[in-house]
Amino acid sequence: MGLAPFALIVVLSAAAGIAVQVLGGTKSRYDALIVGVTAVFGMYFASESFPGSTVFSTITNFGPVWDGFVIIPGLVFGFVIATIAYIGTRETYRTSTASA
Amino acid sequence: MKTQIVRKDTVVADPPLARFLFSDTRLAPVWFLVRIFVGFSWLDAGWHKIIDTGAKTNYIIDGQGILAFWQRIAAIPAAPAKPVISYDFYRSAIQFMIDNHWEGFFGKLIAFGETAVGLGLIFGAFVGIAAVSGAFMNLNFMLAGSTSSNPVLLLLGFLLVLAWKTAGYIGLDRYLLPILGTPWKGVRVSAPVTARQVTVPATS
Repeated sequence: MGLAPFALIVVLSAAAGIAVQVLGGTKSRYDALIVGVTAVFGMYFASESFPGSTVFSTITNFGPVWDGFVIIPGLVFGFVIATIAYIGTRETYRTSTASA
Repeated sequence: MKTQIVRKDTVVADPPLARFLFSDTRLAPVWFLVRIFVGFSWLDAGWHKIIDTGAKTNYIIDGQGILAFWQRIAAIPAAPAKPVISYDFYRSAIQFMIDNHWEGFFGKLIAFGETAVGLGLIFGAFVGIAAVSGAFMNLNFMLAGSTSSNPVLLLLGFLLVLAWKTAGYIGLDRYLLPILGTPWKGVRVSAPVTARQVTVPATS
């Protein structure tokens, strides 16, 4: 994967993380970090691993490729694992307030 | 009568850094990514063996693939070339399995075992057991002279074993382990057991 698509991955992931942080109605300071990092990993990992894998050997065409970045599996898997990580940690960092 | 102190149930507590790395759910997203990487590697390797139906390369029909691998690594080349396997006990074990035609059973065991380890890590089901199983297979592959990705997977497998309580927190272990008794939802408070007084009769 070239530098340009990797930079795009980082920018997209950062945007997704900030969007979740700002618009998600969350209280944690770490949601942007969790979503951003998992999205970067998911997009990069799917683009690099899925096309040559026997797990997906029945798929002959993974769609458009830009400078080594296989766009569709990258975006889909990045979205999926970022969503799973966000949902899985929604309650982890929350601070609960006890009422008397 | 005299009183004797019998120490029992001594537990050495982990330092704060180790607790944070391996027992804190805040690190679960990190272990989630490690699980995906290691699990997909195992799933890919296992699925490759399952779908391979070649007469000389299959693992699950009659195990000719693993038999060919065993025969290659057990062979002792003429000097000065060195054998693939460094340890004689391991070569003897491989030769024993070749002689007794265990390739049919072990071919299926490895193919389905690798796939199961991969699925377990990806879905976060019994991560500790899956990671131990994967690390054991990595160890065997390296003993058999195959380096490839095994050192990296072995190291990450060790780390997943250490983090077994929280590595599957973003996954099925979040629900499976509490059923088995792992206390993620608070500590069960009970009387601290540090020492027990036992009264024994004095000998005359």
